[in-house]
Amino acid sequence: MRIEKCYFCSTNVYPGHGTAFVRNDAKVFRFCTSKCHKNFKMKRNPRKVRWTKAFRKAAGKEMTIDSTIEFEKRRNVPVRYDRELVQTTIKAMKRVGEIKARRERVFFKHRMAASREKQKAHRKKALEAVKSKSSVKLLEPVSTTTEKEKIKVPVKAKSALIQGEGRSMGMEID
Amino acid sequence: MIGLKSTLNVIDNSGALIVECVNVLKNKVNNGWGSVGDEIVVVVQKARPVSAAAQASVNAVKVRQGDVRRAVIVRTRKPVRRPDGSYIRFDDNAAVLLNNKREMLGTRIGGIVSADLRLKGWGKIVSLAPRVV
Amino acid sequence: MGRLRRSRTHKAQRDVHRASRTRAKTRDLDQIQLIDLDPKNRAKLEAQPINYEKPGLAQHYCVECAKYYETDAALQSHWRSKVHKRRLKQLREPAYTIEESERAAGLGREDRRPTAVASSEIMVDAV
Repeated sequence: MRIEKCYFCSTNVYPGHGTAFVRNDAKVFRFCTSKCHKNFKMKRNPRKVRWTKAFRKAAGKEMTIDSTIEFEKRRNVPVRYDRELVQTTIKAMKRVGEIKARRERVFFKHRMAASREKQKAHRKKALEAVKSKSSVKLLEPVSTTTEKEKIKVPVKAKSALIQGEGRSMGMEID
Repeated sequence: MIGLKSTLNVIDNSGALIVECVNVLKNKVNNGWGSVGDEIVVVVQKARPVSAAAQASVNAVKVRQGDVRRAVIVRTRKPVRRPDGSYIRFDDNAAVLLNNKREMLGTRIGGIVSADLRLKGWGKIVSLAPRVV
Repeated sequence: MGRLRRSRTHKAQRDVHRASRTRAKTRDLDQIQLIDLDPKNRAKLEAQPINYEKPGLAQHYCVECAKYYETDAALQSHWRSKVHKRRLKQLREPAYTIEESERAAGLGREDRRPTAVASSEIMVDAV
């Protein structure tokens, strides 16, 4: 028994799950769920569908070059059962998983830091654009103190949002 | 899901290319729909033209258009459930022609066949096929 | 009465239901890109022997779209069409394969085959 990978979203397909499609040139396409199967039938390109692994890898949302990814391989040579070997393998798998999770968290943090700066710059630009356009007429009659508050409040709320986003994503990876 | 009027590709070298199903034999469980490994009665709709020389030299039964034959389904587009619970689906509906003794008319099979055939007692066909999935 | 025509048909998407029949099935994008567009196979496909079963005796074949045409004029007008140009655009980027889905899942192979070389060759052909 083998744990296969879904053709569309690249998740694991455990024995007894999903559907396989056999093309006439004997290529076997495995699907984890009917969702993936339907998307395949619609001839969608997984690289362009945002929830697939292929998209996330192609768009730089996940680690692509890392030594922890290299361990899982399709090996067509059967290995004789060895109690010791299995035990060490399981131990190694756990350890590799830990390291991988840690590296993913770091990768995610870096990615978020970069995007946060970009977002900040974008907001600043947008805010200034709005100010230069309309604030001359609208905000001038209001006193200076209230004006300051008005600008501060939305910025704070938005920055809080970003952090919240980051935290929730971090939880997922754990 | 093969029933009356379904057309199937023939993947053996019997000479027939496309056949139409006219009856599914002894399968009244699944509302008369045939699946992989079921025997059916077919009418040959399109056959490879038989050259005169081949006809004279070998007295092998060549299939002509309009012949009524037995056949066994080897691939279906409808997903078929495997004993482990997964489903498997093929590109097209395909069949292999048989004679009245449930033996193959052709001698070769060109194309993949479903592994479910072996479970249903068509081991001969499975062993002839180039790929079994 | 309501609308009888299917919506969003402006991109030359005609007869979706007919196109999805088994008998209308043609080769998939990855098959075309990795096998048919290879110069050797391409020459073979473009110079097929006379086949009475195929449209136009299999003499006017578009390799990119895996389609037979009746006359040379029809093939020429097809090459100028939107459908054909869209197909060329799709073929320009490397096709998605089972190997890529496995690579995306982090499943490597013991012996890795170079796929980048193959895709660059095809890009030249498609243009």
